[in-house]
Amino acid sequence: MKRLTVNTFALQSLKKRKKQYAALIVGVILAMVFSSGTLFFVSCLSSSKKEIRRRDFGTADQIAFELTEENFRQLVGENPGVEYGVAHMLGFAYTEEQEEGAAVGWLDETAREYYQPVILEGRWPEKEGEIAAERDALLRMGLADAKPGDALTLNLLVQNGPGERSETPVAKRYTLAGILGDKRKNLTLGYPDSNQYLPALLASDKEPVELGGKEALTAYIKTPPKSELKLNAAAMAVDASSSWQMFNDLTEQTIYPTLLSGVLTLASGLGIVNAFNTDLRERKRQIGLLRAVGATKRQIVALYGRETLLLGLICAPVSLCLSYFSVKFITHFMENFIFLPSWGVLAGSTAVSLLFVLLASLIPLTAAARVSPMQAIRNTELGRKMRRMKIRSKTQFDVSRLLAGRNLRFYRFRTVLTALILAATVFLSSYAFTFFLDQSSGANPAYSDYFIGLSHDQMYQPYMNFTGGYGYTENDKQALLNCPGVASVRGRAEIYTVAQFPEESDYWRIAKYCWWGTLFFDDYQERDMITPQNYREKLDGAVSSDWRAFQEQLELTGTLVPLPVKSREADQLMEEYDVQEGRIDTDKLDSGEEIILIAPDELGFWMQDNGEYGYSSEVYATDGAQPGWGEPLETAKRSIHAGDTVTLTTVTSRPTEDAKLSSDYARTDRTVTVGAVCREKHDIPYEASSFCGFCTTTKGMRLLSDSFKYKNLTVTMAGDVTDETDEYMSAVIDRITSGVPAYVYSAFQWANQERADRRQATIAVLAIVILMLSIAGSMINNALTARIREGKREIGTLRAVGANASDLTRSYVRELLFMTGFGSAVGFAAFLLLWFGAGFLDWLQWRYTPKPVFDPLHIWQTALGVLALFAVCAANLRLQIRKHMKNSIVENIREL
Amino acid sequence: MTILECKALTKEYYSGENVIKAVDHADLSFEQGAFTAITGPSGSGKSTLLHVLSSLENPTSGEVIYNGESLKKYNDNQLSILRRRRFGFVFQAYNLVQELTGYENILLPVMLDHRKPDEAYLQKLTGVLGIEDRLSHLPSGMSGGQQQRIAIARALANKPAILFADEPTGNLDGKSGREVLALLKYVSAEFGVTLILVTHDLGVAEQADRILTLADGQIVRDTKGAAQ
Repeated sequence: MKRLTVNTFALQSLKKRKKQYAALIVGVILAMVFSSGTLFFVSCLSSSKKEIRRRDFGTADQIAFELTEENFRQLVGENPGVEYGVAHMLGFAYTEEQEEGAAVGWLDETAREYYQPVILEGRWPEKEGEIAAERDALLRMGLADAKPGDALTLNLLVQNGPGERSETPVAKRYTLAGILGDKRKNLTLGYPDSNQYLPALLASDKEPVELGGKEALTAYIKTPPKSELKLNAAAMAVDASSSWQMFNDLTEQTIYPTLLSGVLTLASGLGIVNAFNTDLRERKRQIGLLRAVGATKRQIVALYGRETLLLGLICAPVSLCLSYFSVKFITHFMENFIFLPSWGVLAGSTAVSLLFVLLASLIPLTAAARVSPMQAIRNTELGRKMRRMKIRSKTQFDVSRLLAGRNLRFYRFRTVLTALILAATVFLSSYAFTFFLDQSSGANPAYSDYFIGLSHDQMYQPYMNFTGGYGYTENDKQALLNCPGVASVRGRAEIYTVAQFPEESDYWRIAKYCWWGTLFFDDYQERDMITPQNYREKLDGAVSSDWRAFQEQLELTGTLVPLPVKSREADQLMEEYDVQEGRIDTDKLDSGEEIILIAPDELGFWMQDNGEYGYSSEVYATDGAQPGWGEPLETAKRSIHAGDTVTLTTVTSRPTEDAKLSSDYARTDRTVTVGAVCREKHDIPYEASSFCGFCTTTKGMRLLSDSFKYKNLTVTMAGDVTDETDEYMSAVIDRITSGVPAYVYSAFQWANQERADRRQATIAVLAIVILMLSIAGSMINNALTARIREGKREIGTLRAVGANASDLTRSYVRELLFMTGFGSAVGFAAFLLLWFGAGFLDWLQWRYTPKPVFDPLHIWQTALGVLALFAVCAANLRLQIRKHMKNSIVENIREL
Repeated sequence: MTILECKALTKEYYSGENVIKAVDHADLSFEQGAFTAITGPSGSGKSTLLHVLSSLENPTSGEVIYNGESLKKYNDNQLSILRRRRFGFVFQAYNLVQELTGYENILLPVMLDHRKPDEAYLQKLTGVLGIEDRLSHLPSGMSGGQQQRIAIARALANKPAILFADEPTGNLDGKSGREVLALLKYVSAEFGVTLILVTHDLGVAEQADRILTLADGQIVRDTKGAAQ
């Protein structure tokens, strides 16, 4: 005879209760997948982050450039314990056709390790005359089609120590050994002139500096964690760590899936507690008998705990596979993600999930072991509970309704708990569908098919312009126009002028208040002293020293107002402006005879109290004031009209450190007639909307300043954009925007991206909602199925006294109806409260609109899900009852 | 007049590969209003015979005929209706629905039949059984004897033609057992109900009109009881 041990008992139990365990196994697998999946997912995110950092940024924490040998030694001396790699900079190379280029250098062994080259094509340079080029560098030099093995003739400005290069280039012939993934572009995105200092053309360590030249050093620095780096010796440095963190912040990608997995893990944990509870309730009598024959509480926990352990071990391989494929599937839809699974972590997380299952099962197990033997055998607990309740005997009733009502009452704790799980599911699901899936940002019509703008500007003064700022040239515009399928390219530009009006007016006095920091004060403290009571007294007559010096240097007198002048292509003017007075005559604008004035009929001046930060000012059209601003302190009607003249002084200076006028500035004075007074129809993306200013045609703008650059270019295609045309356009745009803090928009890519995002979000939300509904459903189902199993004898009794299958099913379906109805009602009510509250509070806080605006409500999807859950549970109940009906009544009522 | 009969009634159970004949080719008939006791040693098949006769279990072969109609023709639903209208059951373990009060338990077959309860009849019935004061109580608050009386009242609530009782006194002490038996006899006589009762207690069987003795699933003796 086989020896009875804890293991054999557990195995026999598992074999005997195969069917009952089916639901439990599903629950265990789900819980294990959620918990191990969460850990595995977080680990994959972390490995992906590391890989992205390595690939796009290298592993250095800081890169200090333009160093001499001496500077470098000082840097090493100042920072003991820090590791360094060195790039030896040899010069700056460019092609004959393109002005743009890239810095050339070679890396020592440590620098190469920190640089982490990603070789896209070819190999790393090995001998003199060979280089590997970053892809962006090739684009900048107009060598997009270059292939490894090609001979490249470049103009090399030879390095002559830090900050110095030969004035005349040397023609240098290199063999392109390989094409590398971008590093320079990622590390210094938006950093002006970074291409001058960081190497993007990498030579071999055998490459000497050209005759007469002298290397400059670039240090790739790796700091120990939490150590403070002193960079006194370095003139310039790039914080590589923060660069990569800024552009690869995966927090948003990590936090939601992790939170959701956490919620699902908890829910599945509750599911396990519920499933084990159900199982143990059914086996209460068995536990009672074991206790009666002398089993201790510990033995009971050991016996049934072993079953759980075996169950977990059986489920572990399945959950391991499911976790792996679920994470792979989810991350497949994530942007900027590299799937690098760690098998150790996967195995470890499965072990943790097994522990989680054991812990979850321990709750009902210890509770079951606490029950006294007689309590378990005779179920005296229920009798006591029933006796405590006041029951009013009915003289007429519907059997199924009465039974359902009594069951719900006697087991109300379990009922409410299960219903609340459903309520939470309904709440979260409604939230996801309403606030998450419905978020769609419409495409801006002003973007057209392609929009190439600037993510930030370089404006220093509101009354003058500086050369060499960011922007797009006529050549860039032409390059786009030459692309196949392009119908038109339209550029928008903006320069700053000083308008000289013939007479003083309150209108222009108020207009100038918008520049109160720049035009009126040198010291910010003075500005902070201004209050609504004293602003006239403090502002009238106050002039900042820079503004005064500017006026004196240029000998400007009269009513001077710094105002921007915008340019549009002739056909754009009518699209973007509403004419209030006069008419738009593009010929006169082209000839510089006329200009368009953008100015509202009435200007208002507001001041906002910012507490300890003093007051801020707001100058705006009175009819466009925001609801929260209140009444303006002052208003003034426009004093200038169509037909009036104005003198515009446009000054362009070299950039200076203190943003003052350079000695060799260029000045243009033009007296023009206001041809029309207009207002802007809509905001242009990445272009400051100004309440006042001028507008003219591109040709007209050239008469004011011949060195302006376009702030943005809008490309309209002749036909539909295809993958091929978009790829071609993207390559050209990449070249144009290289080295510029560009904002690039492609309607084609945007639409594709939005489709993909929506698909992704829909899949993710649906998957999660289905999972949560499944968990809630399985809990409800478990509760009712357990009640059916527990009530087997009762079913037999009812059958004996004449109840048929539908009488019995109806009773359980009524319980199901209550649970789902109550759970859904609570969930929907809570969500509606949040939805209404969020909309109303938002309105109360900002009052942008006269009435609160609520997000469109999307709860039908959840309602449909609950209906499906109800249908599945009801079908299962019917099945369970049918199963009992297949047995004879005697089998139903027979004692264990 | 014969109300219930069975022909070549057989019920077999399977225990692994062994076939156990719990009832072996029983041919019997029961007269309306008569009190029949089925007795025999443990495992002789007396309870199984009662279960098959009362449609609580299906026979392996043979047939049960109620009022001249074979129950073979009845589907599940028709059998349910038959049980709730024409048969009453009293079990050894009372089998009351724990969540319902005594009165609600009694009303079960009436309510399942969607009929209005005959209150005068039920009052009389509960009066005879002496359970008026327990009607609003849950079964968990009653003694075994009280629960069995409620079970008897439930069995008779629909004025059945036949009352099947399976060891109704088996769980009760001597005094309560005697009382319950007396009540069964009384109410079946009073309401004209045929009583078929399984017992292993010869003293109880002696009080029947007819005693059927079973051994190994076969009727070994069919005698008249003391009541005759």
